[in-house]
Amino acid sequence: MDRRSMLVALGVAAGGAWIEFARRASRDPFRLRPPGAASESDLLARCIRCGLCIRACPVDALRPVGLEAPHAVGSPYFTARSQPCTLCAGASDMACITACPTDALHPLARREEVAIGVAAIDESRCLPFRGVLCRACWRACPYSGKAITYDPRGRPRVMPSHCVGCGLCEYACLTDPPSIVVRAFEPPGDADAPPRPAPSSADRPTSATSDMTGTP
Amino acid sequence: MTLIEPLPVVDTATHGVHRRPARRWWRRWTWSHRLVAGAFLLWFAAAPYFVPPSVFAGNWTAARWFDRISIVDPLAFAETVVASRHVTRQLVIGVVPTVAMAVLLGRLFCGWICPLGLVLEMAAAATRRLHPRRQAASPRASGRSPSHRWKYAVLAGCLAASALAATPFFTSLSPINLPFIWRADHAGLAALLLVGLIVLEWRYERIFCRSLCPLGALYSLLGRSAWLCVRIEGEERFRCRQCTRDCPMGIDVMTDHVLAGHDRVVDPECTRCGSCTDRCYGDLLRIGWRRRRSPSVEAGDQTPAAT
Repeated sequence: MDRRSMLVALGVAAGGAWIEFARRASRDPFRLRPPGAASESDLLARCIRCGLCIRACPVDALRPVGLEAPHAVGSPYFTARSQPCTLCAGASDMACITACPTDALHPLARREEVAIGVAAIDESRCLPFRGVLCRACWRACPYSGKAITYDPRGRPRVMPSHCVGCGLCEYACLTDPPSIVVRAFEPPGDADAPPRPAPSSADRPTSATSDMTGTP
Repeated sequence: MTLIEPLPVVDTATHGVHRRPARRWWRRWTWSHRLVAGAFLLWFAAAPYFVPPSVFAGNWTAARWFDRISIVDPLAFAETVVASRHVTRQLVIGVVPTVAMAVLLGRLFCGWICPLGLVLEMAAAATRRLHPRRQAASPRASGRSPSHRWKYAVLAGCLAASALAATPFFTSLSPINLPFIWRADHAGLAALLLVGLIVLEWRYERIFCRSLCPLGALYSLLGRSAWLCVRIEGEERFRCRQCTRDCPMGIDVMTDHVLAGHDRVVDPECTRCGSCTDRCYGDLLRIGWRRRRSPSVEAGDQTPAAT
């Protein structure tokens, strides 16, 4: 191969190095990925940006990432407050996982194995913490009673071991901005983030502002 | 009584060969490959609007039929394997159709399926009409176009970039898919890309396909010994240059293949578009299957035959 070809190859490889650098330095917002994604880095490595999952989603939740993130452009994500993942309730398989040709979205044995993120409650905004009876998130949650429970005073609590991160609670929350927000497990760009907790991890409730507020 | 026989009249346009007219009434292979590529473009663009995703969903990177059969682009396959260091069975099954097509039929994608190839070809045809001095396509060896070997370097660079960035590099930013993909939220970049490539086309014919496209490079590598090819049959081979004139990949068909005595166009970069086949004055070229053993026709007598 002649010298110019080598320079061209080096240039393209430099582009890849730049993208990796941009990925590590990026301060992307947390992105909620489709169900079946093992982790942010695994999804980005396997996703070929074909858009088949985006096309397959029956509730039209998924969108491709734009150019603001060149390492992730074209990969699918959803915004819970606009349209949450309904976990394809009523169907035998989740459409996006079935559609993915590269298994970037891994087939799952049970819907409970979905690990998009974990919901967290902002107690400064959440209505029951301010004396108003509200069960909107509990009613929306497909695992109400396990993922979202209520203490005797009627205040909700998220159990991270059962929460799949679908975002139905965030969509249903009455306050604006919502008092319950789903967060992805690891910040994008952080390849050394700890792995997602297994379903059998400790049953500690999550809270965005402080630890448990005065309940036994 | 005439003592001297009148000399036979040799038609210089066809060099005395009267097997068929210089051109058929329409360039059938040229228009066939354009129509097929256009049909692919129409299908991928329109299918989301009237075909349910359980029947068909897809584009040039990957497609899925009846929720069962998936087809994956070979460069996307290579980049994702390199980026994730992992291969799944479904991924391998998906890439079999495209690799088989390349191995058996050669670089057919570039001529018959690629939307960018279609757009650039129509731009090249328009350029020729608007700019008459660019009538002849520039063959690679003329020095007027950059080296076709660059794209192999780009292929290597894309694979290296995918490994470094741990994400498929060319596939994410694919200029083949991006301008035409359903729901492209980056329509501005897509338009810019297309316009930029068409402007480049004005100066260099098919520079992207000849010198830059890593997918074309991969298909060329896979299709080195393909069965489908442009066959050269006939002993009377001329220097009319009609085959080289229109080759979009810049292959010098006349010098390197016809006059060199080969029985087919052996260049792996041939896209089987049929532009040379349609124009051959001597009716020597034909798109077909290669022979198992390929004896070379001797490049002997090149004088035009008298009738």
